[in-house]
Amino acid sequence: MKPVSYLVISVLFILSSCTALPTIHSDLALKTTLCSKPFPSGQKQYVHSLVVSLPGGENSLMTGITTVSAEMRSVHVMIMTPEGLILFEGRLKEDQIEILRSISFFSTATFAEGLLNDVRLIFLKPAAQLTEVGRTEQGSQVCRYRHIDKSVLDVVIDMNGDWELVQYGANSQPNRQVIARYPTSGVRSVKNDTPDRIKLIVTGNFHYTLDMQLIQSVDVETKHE
Amino acid sequence: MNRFHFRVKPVGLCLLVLLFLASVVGADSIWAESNPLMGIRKKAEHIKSLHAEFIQQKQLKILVRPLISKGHFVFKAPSSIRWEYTSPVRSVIVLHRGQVSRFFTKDGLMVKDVAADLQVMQIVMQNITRWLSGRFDENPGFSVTVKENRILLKPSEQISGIIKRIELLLSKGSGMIASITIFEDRDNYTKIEFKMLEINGPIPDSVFEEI
Repeated sequence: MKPVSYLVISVLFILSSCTALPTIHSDLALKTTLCSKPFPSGQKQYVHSLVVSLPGGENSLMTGITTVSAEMRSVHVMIMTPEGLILFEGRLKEDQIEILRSISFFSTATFAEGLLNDVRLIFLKPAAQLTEVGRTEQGSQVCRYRHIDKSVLDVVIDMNGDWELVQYGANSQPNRQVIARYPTSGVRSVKNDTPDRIKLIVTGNFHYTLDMQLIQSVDVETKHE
Repeated sequence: MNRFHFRVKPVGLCLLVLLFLASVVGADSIWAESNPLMGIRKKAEHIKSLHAEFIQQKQLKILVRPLISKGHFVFKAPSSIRWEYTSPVRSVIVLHRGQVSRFFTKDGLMVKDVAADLQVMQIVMQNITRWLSGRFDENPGFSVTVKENRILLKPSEQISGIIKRIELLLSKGSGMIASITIFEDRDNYTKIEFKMLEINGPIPDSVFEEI
């Protein structure tokens, strides 16, 4: 085969893999500062009720405590039953995972890694290069981050302030979606600019949904809501 | 992630239930007894039903602010229990006719929790029977110490990694339950305070059948 043929095949392969990602429409008026909107700054602590929905329609309720440090790029997570029994406590700093305590199934490294990576996706600004900023077909602002491992994260900011994260694998297929919604009624406080509901949808061989309802949100430094 | 199995969760909840029942049966003049545990056992024979409101305060080293939950507890002899949280999220555990189920609110509907574990439930039922009879000292899972109006329970090695000790505080005046505190370690504990306790009031079976 001639070198030109290789080049053509390579270009076609790249093009075909790129087409799986949604098109971003250029808009020079957009500001990149909005790309950070979903991710807390400083050090915050959230308490959520967590409903885990598993394949087959099975559900389970837990309580999650998450302390996020944007500067340290760390998350500290505790999972417990609604009655207060601690099931798991772990930390993630950069890429280092530390299990502080766990029982039963929660002791597995697979669980810890999966949980902490999910939390990192939701709460920490991506450690990746911002390559594109534009609008979706629906008019929402989208910021596209590309990781070294070829995975992609789209941060989508809706007109009403709600936001979504869509993570694509190296094959450009979506594998995780985070949907954040703010209260639909009442005036949103600047101090309490935290979505009251976050839903994580994981697709793939083991698919599950994590529905997070905000119970309390606290600024760790000042200890004021 | 993998399929979830919560073997310990029902145990943790039921410890609260059992401790509550145990302390309720200690009402009135158990302190006059030379053996307080014997006094509790005697009183237990007269409990047919009870209802109480509760406030649960979870204190954790990691928590900036304590986590407060509220709800109510219902018991009907011989072995029906409803332990319900009304806030911040509604969830209910019901033990009725030998079956234990847990439910919670999802999108406005009550759905069943898959965390339920039949083996643990069976243990729970056995313990309830034992504790309802005031037989603290017959459970090899705990050693019991009575100090004035405090009942201290230390778990066996089997669950000592999860719970270090449990303190039941009874009112010195009435002997009624005031609070239960479960210490997981030095910095982390759960305190449940009871109020509006009603003993032997009418409680229909539907309380345990309708979620």
